Amino acid sequence: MRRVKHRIVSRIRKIEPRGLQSTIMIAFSLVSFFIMLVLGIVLYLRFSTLAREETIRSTQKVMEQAGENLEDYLVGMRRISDAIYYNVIKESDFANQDLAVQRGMNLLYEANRDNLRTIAVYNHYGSLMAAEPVALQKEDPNVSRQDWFVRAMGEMENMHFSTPHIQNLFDDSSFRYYWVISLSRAIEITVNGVPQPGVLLVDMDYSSVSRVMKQINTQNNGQYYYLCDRNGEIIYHPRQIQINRGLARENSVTAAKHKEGIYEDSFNGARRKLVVNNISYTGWRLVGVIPYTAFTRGMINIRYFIGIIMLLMAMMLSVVNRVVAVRISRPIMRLNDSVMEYEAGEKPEIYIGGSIEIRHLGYSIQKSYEQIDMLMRKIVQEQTERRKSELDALQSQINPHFLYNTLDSITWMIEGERNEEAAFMISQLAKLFRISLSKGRTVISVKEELQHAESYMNIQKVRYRDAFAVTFDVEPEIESFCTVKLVLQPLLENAINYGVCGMEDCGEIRVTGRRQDGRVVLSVEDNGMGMSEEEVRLLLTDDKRVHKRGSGVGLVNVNNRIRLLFGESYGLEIASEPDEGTRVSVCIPAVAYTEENRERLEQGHRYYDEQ
Amino acid sequence: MNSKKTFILIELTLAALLALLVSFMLKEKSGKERQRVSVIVRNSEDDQWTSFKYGLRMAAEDEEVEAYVVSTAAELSAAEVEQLAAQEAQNGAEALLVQPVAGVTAEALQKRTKIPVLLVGGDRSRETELPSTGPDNRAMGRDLARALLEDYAGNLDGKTLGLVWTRGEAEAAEARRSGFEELLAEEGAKGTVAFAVSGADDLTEQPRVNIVVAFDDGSLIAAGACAAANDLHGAVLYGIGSSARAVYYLDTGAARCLIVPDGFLMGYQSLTEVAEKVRNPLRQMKGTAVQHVVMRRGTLFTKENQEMLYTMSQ
Repeated sequence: MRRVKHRIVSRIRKIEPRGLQSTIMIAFSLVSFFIMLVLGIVLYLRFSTLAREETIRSTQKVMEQAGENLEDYLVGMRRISDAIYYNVIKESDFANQDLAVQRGMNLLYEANRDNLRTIAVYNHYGSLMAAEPVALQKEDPNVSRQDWFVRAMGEMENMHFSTPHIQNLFDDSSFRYYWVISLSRAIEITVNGVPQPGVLLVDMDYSSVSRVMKQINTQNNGQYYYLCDRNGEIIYHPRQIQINRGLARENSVTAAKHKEGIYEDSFNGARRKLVVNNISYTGWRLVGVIPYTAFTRGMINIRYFIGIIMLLMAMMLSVVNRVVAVRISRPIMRLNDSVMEYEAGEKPEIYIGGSIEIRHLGYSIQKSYEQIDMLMRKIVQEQTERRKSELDALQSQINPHFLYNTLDSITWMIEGERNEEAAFMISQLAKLFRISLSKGRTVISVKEELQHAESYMNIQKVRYRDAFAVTFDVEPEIESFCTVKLVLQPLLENAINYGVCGMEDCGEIRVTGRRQDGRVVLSVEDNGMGMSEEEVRLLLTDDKRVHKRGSGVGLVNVNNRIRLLFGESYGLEIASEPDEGTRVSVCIPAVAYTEENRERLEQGHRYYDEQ
Repeated sequence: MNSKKTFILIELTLAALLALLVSFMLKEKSGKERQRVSVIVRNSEDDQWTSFKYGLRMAAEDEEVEAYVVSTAAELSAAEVEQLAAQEAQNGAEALLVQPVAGVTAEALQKRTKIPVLLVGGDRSRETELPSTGPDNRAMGRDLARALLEDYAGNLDGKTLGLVWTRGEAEAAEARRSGFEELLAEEGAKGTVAFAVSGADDLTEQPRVNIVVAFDDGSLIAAGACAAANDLHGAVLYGIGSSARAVYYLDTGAARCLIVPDGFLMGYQSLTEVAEKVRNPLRQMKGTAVQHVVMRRGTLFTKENQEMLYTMSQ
């Protein structure tokens, strides 16, 4: 259980967040689908209830109409029977007025021959007294044992309707047998003035009844109507023969027990609605049977209809949902796009549009970005200024140091009355300062830097009484590139102080200038005592362990200045071997010395920004 | 997949479902076309088929198929039956009910029609590859003989018999006659068969006999008409028939006993069987034997007989 829960939770977590438009669309669609589903079910239930009620109502109407037709027909038959009895039989004596009886019966028969098969009068022995149409009675039809005769004689006060049967009284030369319903009643006939009991038989054509029933049995949805008597004996059923042959079944006995109304019924495992109507005077029941499958069959088209409506609504709602989702999400998405472009480094206009809230958001973001831009510019400016001031501070650290040494040398010369040398020193110092000042510039040409180094070395040589030799070996092409001013002087100073100072006559300092792999390399090389590898490694750091000779400020300053101006990939490179000498190289990019380049470098644009 | 593609896909799916539902609805409204079953029997307009056709009609209503009875002549050859069957299959019949005719083989019918065929009204005792529904002709013959022996107390000594049947009904009549003679032989009745003819148009030309036995409806009606006209010279008529006219001759005394096959049941059951086969082609069709009743004048109008007579009068 915990595993399953864990899996579900991890799967949910794995679901990637969707876009705003999809989320809105899915949410709207789910809500729409749910509403449509509920609506569809409610509609279907409502429709099906209405359809059921309508089916039952129409069944009742049909049955009422059919019942009325049957009743009219049966009342007509009763009237014929009454007319024959009261107007013909009661008015005549069969002994001497048989022709009048025959004529009267003939008139009534001809007027109703479409619905009548036979009219016959029998005495109480079952002997034929009169019949219409006049036909030959079959030999020994055994009338007195026939059901209609027995019932008429048994209940003399009533008229009796039989169940359908074959009329087997008269010979029909057309070889046909007719299906009839017999209306029989006990009568009083007069023979030779003597009244005696008899039976009047009116055989109604069964086809008249079956025609009425067939007219209403036209549905092909399983619904049907049948007619039975009060005992459940079937008078008409659309599947009458099948029922009689045992091929079908009907629970007419149960239906016959019902009064008029609508009943639930379960028969042969199927649920049905029974609508029962009584037919007056006869005790017959007209039964309408509506299987529940008929309701379902009638609902198929409604199901399709509701399905079509639902699908159409789903299509329309999808369109509406999409339009709404797009309308809601488009301003947000456009705002998001412009923010993403901004984040990618472009500088688009921040989208401002859509609803008030989105507009407000757009305005806020735009204002934020403007403020960020302004702050960035301010930071850059401040940083440039800070670097410049750092540079200035570094340079200012050198100048007093150098000036102190030089003035010390001049003082020493003047005290030794070496005035010419002192004058030379002062003139060299003047050159030196002219370049040092350089109208406040920090970037000068390599040529000027070399000139500055030469002046410096001239001063130092005088000071050290030519205790060492200096050579300059510089490729002329590098003279036109940019460099930070005063980078060679500290190197030369170190070469003198810590390289060749203690040596007697054999000290050599060599200044070289080369262009290597797009870089300008200015080296100061001495053949002094050199340094160990560890000392070299720690020379450009702030580690105090290596600065045994001097403060070390010179090299660190130079290195920092170069890196501040040209970037971290440039600076000093030191190579030294104990007792062999030291070479310190200034590595700077080969940037042509122009006024424009100079200004850009001085404004803090790094060398790599130029590439 | 972006939301636009998803939207288009959803709309297309919904449109396809909509089209499907509309087509279903239209199909439902236009109504299902009823499958057609054709029926080929000899002399199809004859009264002997009335109850059979009524059975077909009732079964057609119950099974919701269309039963079409092909109009045929009194006599049919095997070639004509095969041709009619092929023609009906071509005209859209989904199944056939065919009265067997001498010479018609199941193979030929199947080959020419390629639709289910059920035999009706033939001799069920004869072995055939096709299922057959109809009365048990041999049993009817035996019951006819039994009725005759009942009337004569089992003794036909000195009685002469004339046996008749219609030419076209040879197959069924042969089985009935065989059953009839079989029972007489079993019971040891020693009547003399004076004549045994098929297609006798005028019985008055046949030798005088005491008893005429008709083995089918056509010959029974012919003999009944002779008897009604007092042309049988006092011969008593027994027979097998299935028309209202045959019953009429029994009713009027022209015939003494009548064996009536249940034509309604034959029509109903045969059509129900093929309709089920059409609905479910994998189903194996089965033939069934339909009942027959022995009618006598005194019991002609019992409830059961009235029902049978009702089907003959439709």
